[in-house]
Amino acid sequence: MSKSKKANTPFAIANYERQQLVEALRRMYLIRKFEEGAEDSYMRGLIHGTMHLSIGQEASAVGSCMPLAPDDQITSTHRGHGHCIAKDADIAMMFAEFFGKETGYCKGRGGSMHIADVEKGNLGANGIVGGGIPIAVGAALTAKTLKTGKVVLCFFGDGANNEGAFHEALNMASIWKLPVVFVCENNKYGMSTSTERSTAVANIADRAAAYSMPGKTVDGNDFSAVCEAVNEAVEHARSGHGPSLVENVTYRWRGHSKSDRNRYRTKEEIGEWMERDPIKSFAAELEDHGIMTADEIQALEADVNRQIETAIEFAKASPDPSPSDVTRDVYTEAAQ
Amino acid sequence: MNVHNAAQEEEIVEMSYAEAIRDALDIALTTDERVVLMGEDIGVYGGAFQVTGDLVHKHGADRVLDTPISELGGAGVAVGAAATGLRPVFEFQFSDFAMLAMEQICNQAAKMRYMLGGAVSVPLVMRFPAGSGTGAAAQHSQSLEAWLGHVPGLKVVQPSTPRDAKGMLLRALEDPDPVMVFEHKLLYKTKGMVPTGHYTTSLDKAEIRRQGTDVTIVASSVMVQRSLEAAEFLAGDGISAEVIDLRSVRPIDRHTIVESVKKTTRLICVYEGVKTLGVGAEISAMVAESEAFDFLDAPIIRLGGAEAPMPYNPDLEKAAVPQVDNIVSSASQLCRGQL
Amino acid sequence: MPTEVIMPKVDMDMEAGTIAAWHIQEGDPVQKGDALFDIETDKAAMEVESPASGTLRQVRAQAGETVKIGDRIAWILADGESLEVLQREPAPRPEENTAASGPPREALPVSTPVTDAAAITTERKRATPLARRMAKAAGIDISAVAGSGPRGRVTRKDVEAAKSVASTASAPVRADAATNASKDRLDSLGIDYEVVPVDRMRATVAERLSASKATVPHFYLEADCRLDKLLAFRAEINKSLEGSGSVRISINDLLVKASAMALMAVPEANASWAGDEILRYRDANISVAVSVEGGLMTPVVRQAQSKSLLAISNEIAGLAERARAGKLASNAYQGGSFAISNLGMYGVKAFSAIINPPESMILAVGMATRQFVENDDGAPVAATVLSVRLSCDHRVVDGVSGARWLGEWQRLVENPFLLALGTS
Repeated sequence: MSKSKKANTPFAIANYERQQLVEALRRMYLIRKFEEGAEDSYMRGLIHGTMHLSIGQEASAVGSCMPLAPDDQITSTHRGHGHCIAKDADIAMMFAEFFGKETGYCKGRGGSMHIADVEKGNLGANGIVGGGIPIAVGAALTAKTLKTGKVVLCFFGDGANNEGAFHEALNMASIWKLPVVFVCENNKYGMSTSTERSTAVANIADRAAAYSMPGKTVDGNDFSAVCEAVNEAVEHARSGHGPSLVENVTYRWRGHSKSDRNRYRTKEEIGEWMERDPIKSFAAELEDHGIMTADEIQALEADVNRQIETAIEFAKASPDPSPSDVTRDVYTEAAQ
Repeated sequence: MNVHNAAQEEEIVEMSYAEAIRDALDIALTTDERVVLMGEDIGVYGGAFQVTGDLVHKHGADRVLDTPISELGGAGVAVGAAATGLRPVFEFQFSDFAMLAMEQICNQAAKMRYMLGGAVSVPLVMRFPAGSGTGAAAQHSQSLEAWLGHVPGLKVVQPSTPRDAKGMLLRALEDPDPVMVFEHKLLYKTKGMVPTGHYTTSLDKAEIRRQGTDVTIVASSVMVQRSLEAAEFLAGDGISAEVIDLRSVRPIDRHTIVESVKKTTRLICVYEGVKTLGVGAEISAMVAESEAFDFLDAPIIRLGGAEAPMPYNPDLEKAAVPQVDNIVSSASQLCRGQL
Repeated sequence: MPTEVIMPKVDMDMEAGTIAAWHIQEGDPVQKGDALFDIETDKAAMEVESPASGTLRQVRAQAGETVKIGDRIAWILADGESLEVLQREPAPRPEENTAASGPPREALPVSTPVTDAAAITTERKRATPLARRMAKAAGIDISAVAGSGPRGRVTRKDVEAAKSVASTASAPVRADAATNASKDRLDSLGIDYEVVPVDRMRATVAERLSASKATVPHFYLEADCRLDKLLAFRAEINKSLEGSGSVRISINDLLVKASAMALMAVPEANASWAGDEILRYRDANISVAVSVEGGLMTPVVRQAQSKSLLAISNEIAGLAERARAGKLASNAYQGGSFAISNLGMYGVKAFSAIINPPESMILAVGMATRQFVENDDGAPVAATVLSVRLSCDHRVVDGVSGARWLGEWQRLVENPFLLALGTS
């Protein structure tokens, strides 16, 4: 990244090449269309279990990963499809995983809630709220001990900020000055309970003070604002100054999971947030700054749609795992 | 059963169980830069049971890492470190405190590889000072190996001798998967002959400690020594007991146990964990399901911990876990057709 | 609703029954309570009554076929009922296919009481898996092996003891290749033969008596009895019965009565081995061997000690008739503690009988012969002499108690008026 273009332009526009910005928009579309495709497949009965959609939070996922190097690592959450795509996952393998197929990222063993792409540095979504936070700190301990120069970015939701694991992990990251960036995606509800009702501090970033690390709250629907805050935190970590906490305030348009009946929030509230569509506003920003034309954006969206269709076809056509392999990969070495 | 590296195994010396573990950790820290020790007060304090001792002085505070009193977070950091390239050895101060970290042990460490379709391994070693006999009462005396033995993805071992403590720990450090090592606190000061240098001992093989023909006693951890003492008494009474050191709770060495029972026709399981749903229950069921069933000439007997939290009073504490007398009398009655 | 006809459980250790014959043909009408079909069990043919009135339909098992108990073998359709109803019926689930639980129908086509499954379980012989396996390999009936373990559990030691008894007695053992003929062998030798299928009764006899001979420690006591007074006594009784329309008292009836009274006089001989304990009977329940087509039945005269000679005589005649007709209920040939077998009428002088466990004694009665014996003055006199041989289970009956019993029996037979007096 680096090289400043104009002093008063948004951070991302000023600091990233056109190609990177187009790719960022493409990934945001991919997340949106992927989740819409997954939702549609779910309703058609092609996907079982449940899934947690992040539609509306795309700027947080892509903006947070934007400052990361390809071999930097992330830990993700149960609402992790966006993180996976932001870290450059192959959506065909993601769909295959959702369809429970042997060709999926987890060979059909994990599903939506455990989607991971370890080669691309995504250590995995997690079914346990807060479960990934100490793991991220552990990955940062590895980076520091083996001097790999990697930074670990730890996604978690507002609900996780009240887990003991969050506090224990932030404390350790701080005392050991580990290269980790904690990114809270505050979408205002832990399932149904609002942060106002669940959390003693006004902003989750306020928690950072307790662990002597920088804390910043940003508009999580503003791609550039997210990029800027996380970039600062990544630089801080990479230069050996330890962890930071960034809070992206955002909103999930869909319910907590597929069984949510939306009893805890109003249609008006959802409508207001849908007006603040992070993809639309980022696309508009790119257009305003002459990075992309409306036609180019339309063509990009159409291209993503085609990619989604192809990926779903791949998933559908992929083989199911063999029941005889039910215990495969429990251990690294097969039992004698 | 032991795989020795003859080139490095120079001599055999007497060591305590704790010294043998420290020796293993020292070798690992010296030879593998990925190895880090983590735990509460394992640095300058030397560990609650003086297992890590002075390792921090030799290897530095970055390799022998004092954690805050954060079992869940600490365990999680160890899991994350293991999944990304380190080989952490995490010490719980008391095995009981592992209950605070069950989430990371059971939901994360044990399942990560499987959930991710084999994309990662978690080469994590955790050490659990376990068991009763120190007057530490209900929250510092438990034997929780059956809890963790219930979780696919973990390996759970209980070395009973200094030699095994070192060899199994060094083997665990080479293992690509999470290995939970239960160390009975009463064993730390017991002595035995231990090879110096690097050697490894299998994590999945039971060991016949004494050959016999009348009854198989499968014992784990501190119960191995008690069963050997019992076997000595029984021999004087004309009963020939075979004592098997279980060594591994997960996996259980089915073959060694089944073959022994086929020979002796009788089985007693001796373990310190609570009897119900414990390790002995699993062994009993495994034998009942095996070809050894048709060789059983008496009911299978379990001698396990009392159905109570560990009491404080020393007599009560003794009464709560199998003692030599209990093993002798059960084996004797069993072989005389009285059970 | 159509009524199911199932294979009923009519005997305690019965797992399946063979249909001996149908009394009603498919499509024919039947009244509730009519004889519907006969079952051939281990010991006897049982008549099964129709559970309902209607028409017999969908007969699934023909004569000669063996059916698991509880399995449906036909339907009885009431007037107006059709087979379409049946086709909508879900197939009976396997767990419903046991007589113990029984399908939830209004009427079960079982005329005899159904044995509770739990009763069977508790009666199962206690034995360790090793003992069972060893006994099976050695062809030893585990139920006949005395258990020395807790609650009578048979262990390896007990089976080894039974095996050594079996080998020293050189008794034939079931399924032992050394004692079995082989068609291949006979063919190779050019021996001509006919193949006779082994029916359930023959198989049961073979199995039980092989096991008995192999595992029950038999010993034998022999005695001769003067029979003249008994013969005279019988002649007088039968003379007094002439014209009464009653049956004639047989020698055997008198011997049964004598046996019953002797059992009451020597209670230690009136007992069964039960593994870790001995069950001593309060009554004299006497099995009487009756030869029937294809084998042997042993109906039991219960409480024979308290029955009159006439009653015993009538009962034995009735039992023998039912046995020969194959219509003996299973409880009519179970529960004996003592058996009497008489081959005298075939000219057999004496023989040794095999005990049928859980009975612990069997008296083999030979032919009465005329011979000279010494009278009180030392002079030869002609007398009718009966040779008997008593087989005893040594686990229950010692030599002395067996001898006491035989002495008492002899006293009663030689002084038959005591039989009329009955037991005190």
